[in-house]
Amino acid sequence: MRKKRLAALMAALLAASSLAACSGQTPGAASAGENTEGQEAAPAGNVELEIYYPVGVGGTVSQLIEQLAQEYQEETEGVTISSVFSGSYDDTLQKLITSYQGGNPPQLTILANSTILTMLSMDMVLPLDDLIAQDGGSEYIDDFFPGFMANCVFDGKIYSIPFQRSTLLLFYNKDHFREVGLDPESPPKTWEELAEYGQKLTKFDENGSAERWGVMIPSSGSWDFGPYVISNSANGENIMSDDGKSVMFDTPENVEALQFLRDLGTVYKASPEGVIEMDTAPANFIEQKTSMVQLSSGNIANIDSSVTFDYGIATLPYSKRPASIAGGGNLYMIKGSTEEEQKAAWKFIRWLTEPERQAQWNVDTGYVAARKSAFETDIMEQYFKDTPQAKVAREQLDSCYNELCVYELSRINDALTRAYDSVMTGAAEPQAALTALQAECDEILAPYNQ
Amino acid sequence: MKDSRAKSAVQIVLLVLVSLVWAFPLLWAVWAAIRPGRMVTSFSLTPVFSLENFQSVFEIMPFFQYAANSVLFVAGILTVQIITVTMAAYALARLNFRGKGAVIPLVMAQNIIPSEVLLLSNYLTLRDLNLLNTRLGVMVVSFASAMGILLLRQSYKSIPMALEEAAILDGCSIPQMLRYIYIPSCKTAYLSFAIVSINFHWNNFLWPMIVINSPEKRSLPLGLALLTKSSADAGPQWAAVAAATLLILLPLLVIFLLFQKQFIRSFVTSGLK
Repeated sequence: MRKKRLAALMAALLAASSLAACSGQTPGAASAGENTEGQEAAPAGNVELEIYYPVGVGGTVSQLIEQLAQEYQEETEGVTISSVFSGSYDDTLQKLITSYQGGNPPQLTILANSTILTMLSMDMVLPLDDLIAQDGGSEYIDDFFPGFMANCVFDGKIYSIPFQRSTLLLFYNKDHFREVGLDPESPPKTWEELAEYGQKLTKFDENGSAERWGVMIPSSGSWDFGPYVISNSANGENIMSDDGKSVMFDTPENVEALQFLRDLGTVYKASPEGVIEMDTAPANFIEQKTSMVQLSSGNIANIDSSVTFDYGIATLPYSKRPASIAGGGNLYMIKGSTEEEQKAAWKFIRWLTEPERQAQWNVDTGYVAARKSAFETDIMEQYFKDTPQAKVAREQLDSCYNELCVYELSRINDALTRAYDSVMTGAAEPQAALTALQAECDEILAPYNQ
Repeated sequence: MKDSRAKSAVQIVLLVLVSLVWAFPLLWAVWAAIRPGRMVTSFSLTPVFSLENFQSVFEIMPFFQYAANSVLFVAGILTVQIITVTMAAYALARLNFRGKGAVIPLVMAQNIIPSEVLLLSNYLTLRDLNLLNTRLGVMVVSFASAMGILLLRQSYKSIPMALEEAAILDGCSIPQMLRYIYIPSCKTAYLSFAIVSINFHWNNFLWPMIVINSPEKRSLPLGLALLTKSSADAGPQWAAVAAATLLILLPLLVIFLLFQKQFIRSFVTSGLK
């Protein structure tokens, strides 16, 4: 009988533990740095910082961040930094939200620049204005390119500092240009030229299937479509309003832009019809299956080391005005840390964004240095000598606009991607697709406009 | 005679076709992994091979350290699971106690709740136990398994009561009965549970990612993320991803090939997949 009761108890306990009963603790009651399990005991007076970092360009960048943290720790008294790899930008956000609600957030994190509204609506991000005023001031802030700062400022407050930033560029194969009699030093400047050159560069075999395409513009939603919207809009408007509460898809200019992108495939036959995958676009360029490709500057290092031909980089072709999109990640500070930790974290941010360090970061990773003064350093001068193509990235920064940044970002982006793909595959016409998309997005954003 | 031979020929052709479709991703991964990285999207049969992708995997992550962690997670979880699940299943299959009627639906309900929903509450529990960023923290939430309990309870119930009664007459205690009757007769159920558990925890990404902060405690899926989790900033290195996937897949593949027969049979008998 006793055995029975014991076994019953075991079963009940197990059922309870596998249910993982909800703890009644209030989320957000932050006490940062409380759990330092697994880290070495710090000497008295030491500030311990934790930074989450996602990997945007894959591979060895993760080691670079750990090296930087190590280096800073060695040259600075009284600070220990543990850098925590946290998957993709989305994974990092999830880890951050969990640890924030668990009252155990890091003091610092790197996250996508467009995540700001999500973080603000969860009230987890610390405004940096006081810290900037104490150390750095406008001299520091004004040194960043405006296109990179655009998503850092919200409601007049600065919430993040640009760090691992990138922009879209047009990569082209100079050997192919020569082969078809185009000047390899003058890449297409306008949409018309893009279509015309693309048409010339495309090669079909005797069965009529393409051996190589003239141009590939990946179908990635707002990222690759953004430059075409801004370049063509009536007065240089972006996709969204500044407050992130509305989007403007249904305009005649956007219909025109979308029509042009589809025409590249269907009318000019310069590009494959249908959806073009972003993930394989770099490989298609490297393997010479396309002569031109629109890609993030983050690809420069990889392409430069992989190609077997003469390549060039150009600013994006435009219609009414030059335009590209500024992507990548910023440094954020998370609420819940002590004043001492905040000061130390700010010093680390300042150190990470010093002109020389930004320049070196640019050289090592292919991310674009976010500060103007970084381009005046010797490191950059040497880099431009070795990789002259990369200079174009600097040029493009003068016409860089912010990445789509709205409430309900992932839903809006999903809706856009679906609409875009339906036009590219021929399932819908540009006007109808954008009208439907506008209605869908208005509904998603309705709660924010009441 | 002729007719049935033609029939079986058609059958074989169809089977081969279907298996090729299913095997294609794996074959592609092998092909991409042994080719130089720049050739990853082109399909040609030119005999150019290279091990550079495997090399870059080893450069990017300390593979064997991550593998050791993964093995520890999987083995640790399975060992404890077998013990807890056996006891709970026996209690629910054979013993009568007050509240039994409530416990079974409770366990079933747990089976329905997706683990993502429990992310935060599990995280809070770990924090209170001071287990964040520990290997034990990764394992402890999986020490019980509702799926395992239900599966084994079902198998235990199919064992004739007469066997147990005979054992009791011979003076067997409950642990002895488990040892000599229940566990040996439910080998297939244990095996299929083990396979599902190993498979799930070997591939689990989200939970270790949330719990683990220190690089030396990462498991293999976190290492794979170093290669694949790139965003618009630069395309993923598909060839290296293929190489890493193969390396990570290898142990599972070996287990599958060794236990193929039992594996299939266990799916058939348990209705699990």
